[in-house]
Amino acid sequence: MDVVTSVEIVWRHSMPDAARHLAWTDLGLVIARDDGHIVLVDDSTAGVRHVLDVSAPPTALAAAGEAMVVGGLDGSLTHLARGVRTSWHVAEPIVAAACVRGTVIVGHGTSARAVVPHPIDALEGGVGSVTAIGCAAGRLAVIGGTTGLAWVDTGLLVVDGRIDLPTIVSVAHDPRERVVACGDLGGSIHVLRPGTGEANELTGYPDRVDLIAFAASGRALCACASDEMTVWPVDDDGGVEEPEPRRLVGHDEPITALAASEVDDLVVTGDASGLVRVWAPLLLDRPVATLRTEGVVLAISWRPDGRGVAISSSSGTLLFADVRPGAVA
Amino acid sequence: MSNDLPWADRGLTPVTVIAGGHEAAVLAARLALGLRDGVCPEQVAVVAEAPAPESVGEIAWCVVRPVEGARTEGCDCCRVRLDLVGAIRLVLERPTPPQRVLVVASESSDVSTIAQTLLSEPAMQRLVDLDGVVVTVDAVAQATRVALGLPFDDEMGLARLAVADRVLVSRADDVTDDALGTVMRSLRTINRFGFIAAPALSPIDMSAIVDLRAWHGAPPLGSDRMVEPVVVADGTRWPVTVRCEMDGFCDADAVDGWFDHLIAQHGSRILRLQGAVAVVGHEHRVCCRGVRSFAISHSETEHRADERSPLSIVAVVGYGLDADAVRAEFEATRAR
Repeated sequence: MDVVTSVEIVWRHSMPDAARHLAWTDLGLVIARDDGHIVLVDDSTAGVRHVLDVSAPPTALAAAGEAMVVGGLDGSLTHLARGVRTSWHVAEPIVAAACVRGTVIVGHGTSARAVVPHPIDALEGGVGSVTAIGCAAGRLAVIGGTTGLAWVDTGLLVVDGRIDLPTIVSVAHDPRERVVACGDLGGSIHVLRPGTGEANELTGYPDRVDLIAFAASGRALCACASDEMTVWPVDDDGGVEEPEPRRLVGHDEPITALAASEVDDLVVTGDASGLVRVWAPLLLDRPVATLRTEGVVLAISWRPDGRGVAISSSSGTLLFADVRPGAVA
Repeated sequence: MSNDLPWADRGLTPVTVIAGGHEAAVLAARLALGLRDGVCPEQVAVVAEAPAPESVGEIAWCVVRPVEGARTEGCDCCRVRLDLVGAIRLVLERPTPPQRVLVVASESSDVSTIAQTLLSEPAMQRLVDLDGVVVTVDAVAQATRVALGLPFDDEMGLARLAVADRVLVSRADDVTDDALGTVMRSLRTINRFGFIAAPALSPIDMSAIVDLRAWHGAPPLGSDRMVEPVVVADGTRWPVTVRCEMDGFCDADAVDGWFDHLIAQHGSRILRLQGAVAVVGHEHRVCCRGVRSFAISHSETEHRADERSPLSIVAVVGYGLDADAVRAEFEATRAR
């Protein structure tokens, strides 16, 4: 069996500094470079539509419609919408950002804060230092920290519940919103029902699990540890029942970036040597396409329609590849 | 400077941890400038918890979150791991990364956690090599504490001093000879690894602070530093440095078991573990290093290809170690 998937590089651009945060607005691809330049480009032509300078290396990036929010290492928060820039400053570095049903939530110190559509007072998450933010279900966000996680209603900006867990380092959104998956610093993945409790704990990873993602159909949970990707099958209720995941080996160097398409069951991984693999994790244990870039792959972001993927690396290279998912041959 | 170093071949960037009070940040800034403007100019990045105390020109100064324990709830170690790894990745994974990183740790930082992070985190193993730990001490502050009968330092401060490869005493020219002598004696009791210097009285070269490779190979412990402190006048608990030495070969299984037992029994209290062990069946000594429950080994050929010695030496720094028991158990690993 083979999966004929076409992946072709449309353009490759060499930048003066690396970008470790990429996001998509309705206007195109947002590139957050370490030197503080935030560039909005038209992905079809690589033409620059807007350039924004922020005061420190960006540490978090989120997009909502035509708007984007950039958080910085110096605690700066910059909101750009329709060419209008608004800036704030908080005491601690911004560590995470996510767009939840049109509301952008950022985390800093022990607090979370809604920035879009309207900035309001910070909310104490009660999870120690905030480390990760993601979507849970509906307008419910999940905020991970050094003492566990909290469910936050982004409409009311109130905490709906908390769970004590080891330090959370990653959050994955289930497209079917049955569960949320959180990776911790100790090498476990916690699969949880939004707003309630734990459904599964997936163990056996040698170190932190900071790269996790659900396939678009919600039928697989992918996680990377060292140079391999594990794939956990997910049942209709969001439960993970298999005692062992499938192990997909396609990298010789540690995997440093992971992203799942929101449309097709395709996943892209990138490693410390610049090797990029495209996987169909529900169908094959081997990659369906391969790309190469220079340096350590720092960020991968799928275009929302699933027809392209942007990849940035430590060499300052940014490439955009056209993806045409194929049929099983 | 780093071009001639063995780890340069492996693409690893040397990291020097500089800890202490205000003097640590000043030292880092001056060191960064000195290395940049030196005979072999280097690009240096500084990772710190606060902005530079003085102008550092074009030195990349990456500020991470404060790591004071009282600031937030949760595990301090986790926060240090996340913040430090993120900051070092930020300065090194760039088109033109610096050739050296200086990590400035504040007075309240746990240096052992920083060292453990640099040694154990996969991203750090891929990017950096822990070159050495430099700790600054203010002679005036320490002499005042001693004169007032206060403890020499808190547990964190003592731990920092115990694992340091270099202890630099600042403002030594502002205290009397007697007071300085008392401070130096206390420092020598706590620290068995590195040398202790007072640059104000006897200037030292940058080469005495960087390119130490101090966390590799046999620990630099002289035989005059084998006595553990038994009673400390101020009543505080001081870390102990246990030196285990054997002229002869260890049995491979037995010495593995000794390390496992040591870590299982004392893991959380081990501030630094380092050694070079001659093992039956190994042409070269096996080097080990670690902090707390993390330890890793490699062949001595990685950094001293021509070194062949039947002498095994392991140093363990930690709180509450029974030195005699640790040494006796190590001696029991001798090959029959």
